[in-house]
Amino acid sequence: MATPEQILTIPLPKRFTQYEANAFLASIVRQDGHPAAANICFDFTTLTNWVEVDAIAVLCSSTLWLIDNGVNITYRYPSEGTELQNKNPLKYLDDAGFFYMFLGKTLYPGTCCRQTMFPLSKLGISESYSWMTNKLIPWLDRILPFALSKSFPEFEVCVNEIFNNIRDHSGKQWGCVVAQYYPNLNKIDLIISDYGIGIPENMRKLYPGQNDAELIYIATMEGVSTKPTPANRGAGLENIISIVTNHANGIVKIHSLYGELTIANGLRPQRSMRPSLFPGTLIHLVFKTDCIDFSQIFPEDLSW
Amino acid sequence: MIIYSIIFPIIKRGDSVTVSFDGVSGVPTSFVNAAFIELLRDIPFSVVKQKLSITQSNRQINELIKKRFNFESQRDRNPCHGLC
Repeated sequence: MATPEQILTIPLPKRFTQYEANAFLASIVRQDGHPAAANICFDFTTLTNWVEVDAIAVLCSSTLWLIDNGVNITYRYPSEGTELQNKNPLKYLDDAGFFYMFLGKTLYPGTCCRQTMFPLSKLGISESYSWMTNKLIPWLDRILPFALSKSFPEFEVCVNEIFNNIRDHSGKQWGCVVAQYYPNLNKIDLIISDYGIGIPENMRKLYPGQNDAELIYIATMEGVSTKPTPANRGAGLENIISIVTNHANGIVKIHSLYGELTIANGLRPQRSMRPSLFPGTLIHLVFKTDCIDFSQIFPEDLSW
Repeated sequence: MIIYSIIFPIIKRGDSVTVSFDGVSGVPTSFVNAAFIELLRDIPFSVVKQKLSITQSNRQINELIKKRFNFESQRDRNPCHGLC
């Protein structure tokens, strides 16, 4: 058992958004891509203000990465049984299933997944299709003002494309998923991440001399693939971007290693380098539910 | 590759084939690539267009199929496709 001196304690930020995630990642991942310590304690007592759903995805995926790399993780949090209000970030994390995923139990009274949230899920590639069909899509059908499965089947196509990429390129057989619906904003945040090798690391073999952000951008170009096969011809990411930005007026954000790419309809793709390394790939899709192009399902025969 | 293995010999010998998407509302690019784009290895796109019909589909699937065919048929003529 590690002594207290050998445990690296990481206090979570008071307010945990995608911006604070940079400092969090810098504290757990060294610049050489290895874990910062063999024994890490996540201190949740400092998370008192706010947590965003994409920060939850970063926290979940990086925790899985640490465990996969042999790091022993412990957790410090306000005592179980403490009554927390719904707006408390720890309650949100508990409702999202974070503590259940990593501790095997929920911590606080009244914990249950919120109606507008799809809880954290760790999925094997082989089970991703049945999970999507039997859990994710029915949840969306229940909470949205329209039947997503019938009206916008491209949503499933996007999820399929992402898991195909994890299978083909990440070197891992697992992905993490979390989703949040904001009825007042008419949007769905869907975040799927893996803790694999990362898009830039794969792309570097074909395109040396480019930074991580540029490599992610190149990877989204149609026809670019590091492992071409009859089925894999480098069209998946481009198809996701086309669906989300053209048919749902949404946004695609891809964060992998030090690079980040954001693409929205009508705007130039934004490439940026992050100060810290995200070990793996995180794809964040934002769908605007009041802008979905329902004409795409109109039946027709193909005309060349 | 099942679809490809069925339709390739039919088109190769000069016959026409119709693929129905009845009951299918969306497909990923991996399906289109494996089922149809593989035809381009041995069959010119101009012949594919004459011999392959797609029915009971929808706009999203059809646009994806056409886009993939247009890209891959051009790629053979321009392998770098702007990245060289």
